[in-house]
Amino acid sequence: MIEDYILQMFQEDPRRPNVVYSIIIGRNTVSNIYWGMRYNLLDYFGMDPQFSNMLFRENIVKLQKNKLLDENEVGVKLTSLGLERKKKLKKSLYQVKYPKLMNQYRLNEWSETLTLAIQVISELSFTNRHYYPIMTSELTKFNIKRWLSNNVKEKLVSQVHSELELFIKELDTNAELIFMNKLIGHQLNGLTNKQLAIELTLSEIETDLIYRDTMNYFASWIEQQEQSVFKELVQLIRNKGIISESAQDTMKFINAGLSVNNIARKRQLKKSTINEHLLELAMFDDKFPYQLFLTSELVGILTKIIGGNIDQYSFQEIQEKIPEIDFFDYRLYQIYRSKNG
Amino acid sequence: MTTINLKEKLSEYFGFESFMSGQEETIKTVLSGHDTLSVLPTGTGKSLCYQLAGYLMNGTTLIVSPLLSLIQDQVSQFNFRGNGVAIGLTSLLSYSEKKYVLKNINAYKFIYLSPEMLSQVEVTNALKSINVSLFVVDEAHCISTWGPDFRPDYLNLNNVIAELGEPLILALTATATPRIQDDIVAQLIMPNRSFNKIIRSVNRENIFLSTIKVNDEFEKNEQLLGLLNKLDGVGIIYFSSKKKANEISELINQHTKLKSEPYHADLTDTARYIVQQQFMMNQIDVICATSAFGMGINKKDIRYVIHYHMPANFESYVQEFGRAGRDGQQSIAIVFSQVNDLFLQRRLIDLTIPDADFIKLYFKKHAELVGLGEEKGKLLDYYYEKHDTVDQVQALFRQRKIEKEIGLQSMMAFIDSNQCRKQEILRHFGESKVVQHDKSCCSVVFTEKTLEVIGLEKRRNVTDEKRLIQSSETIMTKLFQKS
Ligand SMILES: [Zn+2]
Repeated sequence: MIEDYILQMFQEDPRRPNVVYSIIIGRNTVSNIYWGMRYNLLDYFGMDPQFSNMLFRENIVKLQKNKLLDENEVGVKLTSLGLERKKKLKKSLYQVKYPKLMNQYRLNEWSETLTLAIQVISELSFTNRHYYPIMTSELTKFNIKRWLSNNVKEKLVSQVHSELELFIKELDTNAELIFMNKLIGHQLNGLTNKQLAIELTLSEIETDLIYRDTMNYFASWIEQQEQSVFKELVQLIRNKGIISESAQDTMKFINAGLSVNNIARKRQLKKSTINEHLLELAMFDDKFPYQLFLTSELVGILTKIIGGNIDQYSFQEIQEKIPEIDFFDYRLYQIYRSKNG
Repeated sequence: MTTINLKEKLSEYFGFESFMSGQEETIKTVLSGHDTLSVLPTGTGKSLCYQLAGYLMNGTTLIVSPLLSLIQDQVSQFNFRGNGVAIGLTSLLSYSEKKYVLKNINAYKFIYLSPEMLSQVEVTNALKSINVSLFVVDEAHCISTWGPDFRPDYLNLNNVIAELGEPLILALTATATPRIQDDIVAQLIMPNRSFNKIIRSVNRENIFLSTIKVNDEFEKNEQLLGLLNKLDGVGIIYFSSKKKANEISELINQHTKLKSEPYHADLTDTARYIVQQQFMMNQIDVICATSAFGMGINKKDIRYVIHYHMPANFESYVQEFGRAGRDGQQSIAIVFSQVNDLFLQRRLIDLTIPDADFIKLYFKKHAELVGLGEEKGKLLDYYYEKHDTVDQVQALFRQRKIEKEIGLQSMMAFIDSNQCRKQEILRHFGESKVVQHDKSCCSVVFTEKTLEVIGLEKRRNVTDEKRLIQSSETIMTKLFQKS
């Protein structure tokens, strides 16, 4: 089953498995993000930070053995058999509903936070103080304690109850069953993904994906509500955005009119680091000022050489044709082209 | 402190009416200011000894425990009692959590630590700033190089105790031969002090012991499924690999009416919590566990313990089957024995103990290899950082291998002997007691008639209800009580 999801991340054009793996676990480097964008997989960036590389590799080998994937010197690609299978899977396999939300929240923390919050409220409603709280990080325990003290305890039970009722109206059957049966409380032990998968005759990974999808949706649903008792908790598990803070700082200097050399000196960073920030910004910020870094002359020359397929030349090959070009220019051009056609 | 007082406190803090054998004596000698070694068999509530003593003493109780899962379980038991005064200081804490805990270290009455934490200067410095009144060494047999579970970082405990101003010491273990008992005391003892020893017999009268010999795995699985269908109550099966535990758990679910779950280090914390709670509430019939993980299971009415793989040594065997029958009711423990057991166990030893060549290479190229050697490497890092020579370390691991082999050989001899099982165990642990063998004591070869004789033949199914709850409304009423 996992192999089906892995298969879906490949296409007829070869892709580098290392990069695909880095996207799944969300390894946050400019190069990974660039390729995530090129592969059109950025929505899945960081979808499973705990996913093991060994398991990933084993499945690639398995898919190759089954003649669904093929490997050449550039990377791994779908065979025609693989392509057929991918088309079928699109219909039969659970497809992530909210890929855009995949890297907005720290999902494991959110799941642990919500589960503990509901357990605590459940026991509170039964006025029971002697119970085994689920095992969480100390930070989550601390956050829940603060949340409890920031709210009126007497009201919490009915607030949490009615908000859950409201939210599950938004869900389809499987999502509701999985979301609800994973809750833990006074008379409820909860079910593991494995147990849910057996009961619902789904695979474990599908069960897990539905749960993740639903939890992401819940977090964003909470943020959209005018009032929600969970708002404070969602704030704590929200990612501050995919653009690093350091890159955001660089942008402020750019907007103030400083050159790359000046910013590097002022921030006591290497010029190459500032360039990395710029690439990061270009990928995520649709208003990135390309004209400050790419002359229309260079864009013209590159477009003439490269034509339609912007991935066809390596940097070395381009450098042979335009000796004075540096990697930053070339990569920025590629980003520009993939965004503006 | 008089007996009556202690019983009152027991009731006040734990809600129990009476002590189990060895608990009261241990607490008394600790409270009278003596360093103590207590060897109390599995199931007699070792942790209650230091918990009650700790409550009754001023200052903080430190507990060194070798297993993360064990620490987590103990801390959540404190949370269960509603006394949020315990913390687990382990590698599971994030950097900022650890910083927070160390800064507020005086807020905790009980601090659980993994031994490697004690080699970190910022940890010992924080501990020096508080009044540590009791230093508990849990699973104290890990300190002995003679023992099968030796942990090199336990050797450092003596220095830490001295650094912390020599607090009172309580060493606890479920199994220790006289030789290991002496070793524990020798390793921990402070100058001009002495140890009181409280030793209880490892004998468990209410657990019937037996063995099933099979030729191959196919036969083993057949026999196992047949056995599970005839046994009453719930139980644990121990495995020496996670993979096998998963596999057999699946097999049980498919071929019997029983509900089974694997239980080992690959489970997430939440899944582990759920499985534990379900097992406590009799929603699972059989847990398929690996040795290290089964230790956290704290259920009193486990009726049977089965060893799918031959235990690696007597100590593990006795600790593991001791999970059965904590309520004092008749229970049974069965070991499967197969011709290739020795081969399998030897391979496990080879996997965990580095050989001479690996040690030499690792020390020579430490900078390149650090972090790559996994379990073996971590073990060697300890000695590398201590600046031991290659020769010293090679000799040490040669010795470890011999000890493991001896453990294995004596386990094999036990399986093959036709003497009373319980008498053999007592002999191994140097006890002179004579067991009154009868037909409800043990048998060398298991026969189905045994279950009738000891009253453990299947009477009813434990679990039947469907697990998934279809109606969200039902879930809501289980979650929230309308006021
Ligand atoms: Zn006997």
